[in-house]
Amino acid sequence: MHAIAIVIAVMIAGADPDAGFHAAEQKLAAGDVAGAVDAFVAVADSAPGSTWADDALAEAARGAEQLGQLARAAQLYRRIALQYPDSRQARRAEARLADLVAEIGLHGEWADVAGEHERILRAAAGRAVPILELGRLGALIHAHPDYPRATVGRLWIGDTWMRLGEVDEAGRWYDDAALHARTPIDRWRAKKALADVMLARGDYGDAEDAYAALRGGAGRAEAQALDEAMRVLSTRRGRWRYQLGCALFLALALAGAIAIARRDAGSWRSAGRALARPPTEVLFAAPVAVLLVFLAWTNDPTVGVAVAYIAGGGLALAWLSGALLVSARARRGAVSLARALAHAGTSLAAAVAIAYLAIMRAGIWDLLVETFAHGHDR
Amino acid sequence: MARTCFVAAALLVGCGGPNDAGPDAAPVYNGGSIEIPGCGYTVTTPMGATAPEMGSSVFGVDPTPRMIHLGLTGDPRTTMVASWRTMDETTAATTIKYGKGTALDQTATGITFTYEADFSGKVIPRVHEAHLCGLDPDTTYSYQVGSIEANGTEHLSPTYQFRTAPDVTADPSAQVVIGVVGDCRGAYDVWGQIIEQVQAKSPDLILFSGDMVELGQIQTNWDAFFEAAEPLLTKVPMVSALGNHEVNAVNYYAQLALPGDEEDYSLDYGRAHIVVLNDSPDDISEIAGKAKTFLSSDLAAHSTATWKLALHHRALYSSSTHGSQTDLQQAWGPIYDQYGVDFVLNGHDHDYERSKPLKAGAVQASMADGTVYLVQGGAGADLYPAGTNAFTELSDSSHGATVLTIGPSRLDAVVFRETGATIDSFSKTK
Repeated sequence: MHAIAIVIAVMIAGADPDAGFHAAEQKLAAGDVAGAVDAFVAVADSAPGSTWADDALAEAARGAEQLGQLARAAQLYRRIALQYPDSRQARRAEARLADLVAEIGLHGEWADVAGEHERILRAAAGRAVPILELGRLGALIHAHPDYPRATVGRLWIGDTWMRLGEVDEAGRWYDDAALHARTPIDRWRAKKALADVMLARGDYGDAEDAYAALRGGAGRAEAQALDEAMRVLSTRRGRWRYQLGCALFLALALAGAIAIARRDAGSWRSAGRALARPPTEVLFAAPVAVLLVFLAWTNDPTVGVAVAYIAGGGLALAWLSGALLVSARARRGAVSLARALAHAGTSLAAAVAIAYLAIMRAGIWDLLVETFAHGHDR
Repeated sequence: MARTCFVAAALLVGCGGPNDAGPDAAPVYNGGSIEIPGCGYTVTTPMGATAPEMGSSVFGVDPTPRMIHLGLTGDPRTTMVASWRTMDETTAATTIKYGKGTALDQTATGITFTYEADFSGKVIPRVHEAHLCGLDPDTTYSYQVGSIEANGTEHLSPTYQFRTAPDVTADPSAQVVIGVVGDCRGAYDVWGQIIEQVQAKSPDLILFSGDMVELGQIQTNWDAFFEAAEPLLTKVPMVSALGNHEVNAVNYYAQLALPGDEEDYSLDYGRAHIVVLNDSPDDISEIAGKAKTFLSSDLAAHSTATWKLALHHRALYSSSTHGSQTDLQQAWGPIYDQYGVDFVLNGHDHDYERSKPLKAGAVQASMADGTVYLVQGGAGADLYPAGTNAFTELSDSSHGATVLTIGPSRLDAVVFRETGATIDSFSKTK
């Protein structure tokens, strides 16, 4: 039946390569990749001297790759390079052939495993969480530990886990890749990925040491990648320190505020009562804050997150600040200028700290810098 | 820079501009133009650059060519532009040796000009451009650029090869492969990896959707960009849209050889009609004015093109940090719908996002019924989180690039990370 279909395809293609080519493309569009590959080959077989032949073979080779038939794809690319050396497709065919030979082995000895590898990667493309494919590729690598592209596979698995935020799982695969790497460049990539894992965990010192250790064996591109990694590390560490400073300051300010409230109120119970009563400004500010959050959220959810944190933190700050002042006035009648200034200064610094933490939490610092430097999107 | 051509022995006529004052006159950076009869178009340099002049016999201390890259100003089937700088920035000699296949049997003289590259006015790069015209379609050419002294001493680059675009009338099945990238600004290590991955797909043309640099007036940014891209751009021409980070700086217009006015222009490559727009002009009223008028008239004139692609920086539809750009939706969206543009290629947001087919903002059942909007802003700049919307088909916060394989009735797209791992793939058949 299959042979008859090919004969019919050859007859159609021979009569009119244009029609044969388009018929093959329609098969592809309908999802019949195997049928399309045969139909494209039929175009080249029946009209080898036509301008359609090299493009038909290229389509057939790409279809064969899609099916995981890598040995057949290599054969088709080789045919393009030999039969149509001056064609537009020849350059691409030669490049792809070299890659394919590296994947399947000089004599095609790894064609089946590489084909399965290809099918898994294609199935994973477009899936946000390719759990099934992660398992399939892991099993394939374990079943064929000598597979030449096993390290590439391990790195893909590590990268995918990393993208999914599973840093520890990613680290295990990178470790495995570094251990089994066959070439210095694969080993370097695996170790660089392990350093990236340390960076993602926030182990800045370890990551810095790991990057530094990779310097020696680096070429120009690798050296550039290390420069970039160190730049990222420096930025993240700096931001982390600022965030830590902000958090510590807020914690100290809160502890100080509670202690002052206790002193002003005379007892913990009274202090609790004083702080539990919302000051007037909070009653005014709360609906405004809700409105701002709503507006920000409907316009841009990312900015909405930051505005929600700032509004929430701001309300809490206003509550605490107002309650403290009310409590102080109730006890002493008037607040000294020094205390008022200290109170205002601390409140201002706390507001800045809350805003910074909110912006970093929402991940919009770079957007704010860009908007400041280049204007607002319209 | 813009629009010129040289045939090997073409006679260059006309050279307007302030530089005509003489070799010893202080350079004046008011731009200027040269018309080349053999090619039928004029090269115009912008304000901030000197008027273009023919390469002369002036040699500096180190005329070694560097930052070589290919561009297009005319018909991609028959023209090509090679641009470069020299180590010394003073050499004015500008020569290209080229020929079919591996031959280097023809020589042509190019043009040269300088521009004020930064705020200080002290960085004055010199650009050399050689415009080749009358080439054969779908043909491989070899070339070397640089200069040759009167005594025969050559200061030439290594030999590179490019291939002209196919003539689809002569070869109806001719496929072209187009790489789409955007937003590498600053992170040239990732850009280098992206270049490597794109190069592995043997593209014919690169489309860059803007933001090549962190800030358009900083020449060191441009130097890093071109140095990283040289392995690819010495073999494959690049056309680009201006991004907001280029800030309409003279550096952009001076260093890139592009068609038309270099802001809003179009070209045909294989069966693809590509319209490129500046969505970040100094005068924002141009979006709904000059650019809109150009877009409408250009698509009306190319309504029968098999594949229609649009390239610009900001995205009409995006779920990431910058989000959908409503001014562009209003100004250009109805025109994309009217003329059935297949794909709109953007950046600005540093992630990958493919929309569902859209028409008037509404999701359509199939690609035949609507335009697909692609955000491919992951050529290196720090990533933004990928969001999702009702219009989102797929989004992914990754560095990467897209490669389109465009044939007579089928377009295949593969989207991949800087590691080579595939993010997405899709096809459209007509």
